[in-house]
Amino acid sequence: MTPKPLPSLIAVIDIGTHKTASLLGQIIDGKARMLSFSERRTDGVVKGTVTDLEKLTQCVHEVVNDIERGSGRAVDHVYLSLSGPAAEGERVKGFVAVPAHDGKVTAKDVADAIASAKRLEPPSGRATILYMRQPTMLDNRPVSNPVGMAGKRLEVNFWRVTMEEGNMRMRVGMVNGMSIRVRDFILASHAAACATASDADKQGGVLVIDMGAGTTDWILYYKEHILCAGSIPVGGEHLTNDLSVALRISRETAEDLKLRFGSAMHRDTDVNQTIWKDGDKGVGDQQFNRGTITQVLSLRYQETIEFVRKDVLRRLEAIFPGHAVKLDQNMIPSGVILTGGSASLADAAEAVQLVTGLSARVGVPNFENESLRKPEYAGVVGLMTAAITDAPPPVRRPRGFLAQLKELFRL
Amino acid sequence: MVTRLSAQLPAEVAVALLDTDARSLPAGTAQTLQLGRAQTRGMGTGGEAALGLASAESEEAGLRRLFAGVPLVVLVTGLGGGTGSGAAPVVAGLAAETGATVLSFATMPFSHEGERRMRQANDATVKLGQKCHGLVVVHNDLLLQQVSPDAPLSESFAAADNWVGGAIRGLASAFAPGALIAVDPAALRSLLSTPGSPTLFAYGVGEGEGAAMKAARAACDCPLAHAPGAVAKVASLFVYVAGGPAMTSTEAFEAVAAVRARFGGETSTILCARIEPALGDRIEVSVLGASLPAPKAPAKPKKGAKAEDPAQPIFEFATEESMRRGLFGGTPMTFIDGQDVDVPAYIRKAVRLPPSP
Amino acid sequence: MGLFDNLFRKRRDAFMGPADRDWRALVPQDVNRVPEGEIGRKRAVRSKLPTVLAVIFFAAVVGVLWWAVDESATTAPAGGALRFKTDGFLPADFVKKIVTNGPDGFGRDVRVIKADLESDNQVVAADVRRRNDGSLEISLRERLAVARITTQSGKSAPIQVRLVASDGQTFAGTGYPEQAVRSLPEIQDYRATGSDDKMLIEGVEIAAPFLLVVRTQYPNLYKQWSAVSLRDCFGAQEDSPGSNLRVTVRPGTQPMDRPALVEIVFSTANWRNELALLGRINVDELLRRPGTTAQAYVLKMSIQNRTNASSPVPEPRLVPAPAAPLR
Repeated sequence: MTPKPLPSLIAVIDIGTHKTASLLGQIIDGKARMLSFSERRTDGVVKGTVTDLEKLTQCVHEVVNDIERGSGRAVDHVYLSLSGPAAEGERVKGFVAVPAHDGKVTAKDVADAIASAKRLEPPSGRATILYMRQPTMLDNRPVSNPVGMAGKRLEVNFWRVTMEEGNMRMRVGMVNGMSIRVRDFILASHAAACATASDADKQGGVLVIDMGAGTTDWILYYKEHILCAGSIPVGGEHLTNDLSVALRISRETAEDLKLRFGSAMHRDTDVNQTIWKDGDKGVGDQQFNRGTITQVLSLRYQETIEFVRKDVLRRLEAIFPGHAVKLDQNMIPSGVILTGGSASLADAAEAVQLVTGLSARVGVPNFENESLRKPEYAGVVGLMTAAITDAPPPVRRPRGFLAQLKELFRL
Repeated sequence: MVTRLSAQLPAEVAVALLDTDARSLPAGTAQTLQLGRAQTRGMGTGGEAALGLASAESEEAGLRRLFAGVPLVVLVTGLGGGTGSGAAPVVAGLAAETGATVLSFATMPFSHEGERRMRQANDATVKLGQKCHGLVVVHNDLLLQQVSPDAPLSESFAAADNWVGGAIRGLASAFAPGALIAVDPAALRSLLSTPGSPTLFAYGVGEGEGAAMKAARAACDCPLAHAPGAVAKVASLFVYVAGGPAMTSTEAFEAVAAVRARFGGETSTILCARIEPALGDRIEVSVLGASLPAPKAPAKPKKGAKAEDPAQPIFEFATEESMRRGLFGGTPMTFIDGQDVDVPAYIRKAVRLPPSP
Repeated sequence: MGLFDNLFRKRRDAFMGPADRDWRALVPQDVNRVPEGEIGRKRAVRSKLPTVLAVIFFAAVVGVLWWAVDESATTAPAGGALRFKTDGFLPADFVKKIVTNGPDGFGRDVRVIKADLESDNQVVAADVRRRNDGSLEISLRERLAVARITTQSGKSAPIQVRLVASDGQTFAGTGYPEQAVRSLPEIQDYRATGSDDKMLIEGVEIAAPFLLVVRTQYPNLYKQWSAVSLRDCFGAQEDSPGSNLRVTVRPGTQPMDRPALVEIVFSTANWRNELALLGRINVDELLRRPGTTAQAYVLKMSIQNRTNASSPVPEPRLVPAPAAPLR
């Protein structure tokens, strides 16, 4: 929770398995105005983990270069997304007994509790990346702001995300090597949620599933705070791979078929449909049974959602031990918001509804720029949104002559 | 499995059963050798590959006697457990040392048999591949494709038997006299003799009208030969065609041509054709292929250059993996709830796909 | 691993508290390096380019302004060279002082410099030229001095020696060596008006040319004369119909064994002929004739023999000099 004032220029980089995207925005009156955007195919990341650092560095550097060229500004600090199995999250608590003399909670008590929560050691070999606020409990009752209220025991909760130290050093070092400072990390699922879910959704309770190419990140909100988050190392690439193995075709062909004819639901009537790969019945064309395609894809997709559901349940049980938790519409009134590149699969929402029993819809990022209103950009757009909303309100910078001169020459 | 197979094999083929578990070695027709009497005391390895290895080593003398003078040894083993994973590489190595051409058929456990067995099987594959001249890996998961979802387990095993049996039959018969088109054992050996190179195997059977072409097409479609990244084109082929008395050489050649077209048009092909009265109007086609040609005289090792061998097992390992895990072959396995999730979902759930048009 | 090491080695593995497990504490971000690689260099150049351009822009503006201002202030470099020659005695410093006199200094217009130089009576004509590199070339023609006079501006003022040129102009004689000044004959008993350069000496229009002719044509005579008195220029005398030029002869130039010739008197009207006559007279022989018993004689060149009233014949006559010097 670094209380640094928000700069007027924000750059975010979302490094994914399939693509790396970066967004540069100018903050005007607390809203972001896009200055430039660039994306490139990611090289060197498989299933959400870095396999070739050199290639990845080259790729990210190119993206940054594009952004700088496109906007004419130099990027010197950036927000990074944190996704995939590398980021492990857990709930940490801090307690403080309210001093008895008047029984009212003061700001100092809250600070003490927060400090005690942050004193907990992360698992060995891991570094703490970020803390996200969770409901504060006063005498086991959730309260939004305990200051001034009477009680005996104050408990603050955080969702703490840690990452392997080596992994973190690698990422920060990679960015530093481009003479850019990492301003902060932002949880990718949280970013996706900031882009697609409204505050009302978060207030009531919503599960946001960001299914990318390499990983599926999910986050559960309840009463406006994050309840828990997790990641499954299965993504759109697995869908493509399944299809490629099943039909004995190349990856590119499988990707193409997935986008054109794929579906997350398998209907019996699909079996009767035959499709041609190129569609022109020319030489070298192949024909496939649509049923095969939908069968393979739906199996994989639904299995992945099932994994997510089980993971959610597991984490909830870890948070509320001893309680029987059920994932149902009462707990999560806003249901599931599906986003990420793989959310574009046909009938995805229906499949999620089938597997989880919750209402589901595909979430599209809320951004002024139309070209970015696609589920696959929820990550990068969300990073920008989260960076703004999570930071303290901006201080009005004195527009003296020197400052204006600086602006003129961008010194 | 070997017991079942031995019934189908021609008499010239000597069958030996090796196991650590004494109870699985029946007294009877087949030759048996109990491994590791001291180590396991006839109880079996309990899934420990190291124990299997030790057991095989302890019976070295007996094994050598077994393999003496045999030109071709076909090793059939199920990997994942202790005996198979541990002993098979040792046995294969010994057989190779005695001068035989060693061909292995190894089955990989089902995905849901668990992480540990899978890992053990993978390791064993690498080791086995280094010792054998040809290694064919049969993934049990793929077997499930061939049968309908409600079939009993025995049926899927029967399918596996069919394949492996077909291959062994083909090989055995190749060396037996009286073939329509004969093959020279030495040629076969040279075809397969790159240790560690992945071996392609396909088997198909057809009957009735145009049996040869049907068999060829079945062989081409054999799932064992199909996976993206798996060896699609091979450097050298061995095709064995067997048919009933009605089979003509023309038909045989047609079948071979079809197979060649599918697996590698310019490869050197060794053909063996045989008349088996027992087959009637069925025609069987077995295909064995080696993706790397037999190496020429070893090049002078450059200073500091890595040895040739380590590269090959990795290549072979990757290709074997890619048969199941597709593009994720070569990446570390990802396990959720004990399953390797990189393997396609439909395989792990044993769902039968509609046939392709 | 002695006690020393245990106490003083860096305890990286010791429990430092979870604050240090925060990623910011673990990785101090060092971002001052220039990124490697081609893209990195391009980015570094691009980000520094506006700064560099701004600096260059400002430097250029300043430079242009400087140059413009400088242009109008000095058309030529200050303290340029001066090449100077004269046919007289004027020293270079004197000239330089005149040249650089004034607010513009050395950079003055050449016409102005010429006028300044020529305003001094010693300079007859000044040729002032300015070369391309700003240096001046000055060549002067000075007045030739034929005599000197001594002046005194007031009763108690110092005595100044001024030189007289052949055209009657007086000048300061700057740069003249002592010897040269002393060897010039002095003009005495003159009447003058004005002062300094504008001094006008009555009779100088006769005396100066007279001296010039003597100097140029009868240099040995010139050397012997020490002064010329103009006292008889201003009125008639008994011996001559007009004015006289009385030339005092230096005593040291006469031999000791005969009476000295102390004065020669020329008439202002006829001095040319008289000079020619003097050239033919052997004064020394005249003075050694028996009968010359006085101590000193005056040679009067302008006595006219009026034996024949119609055409008097000039006849130089030696007259004994009066004992006391006439004043």
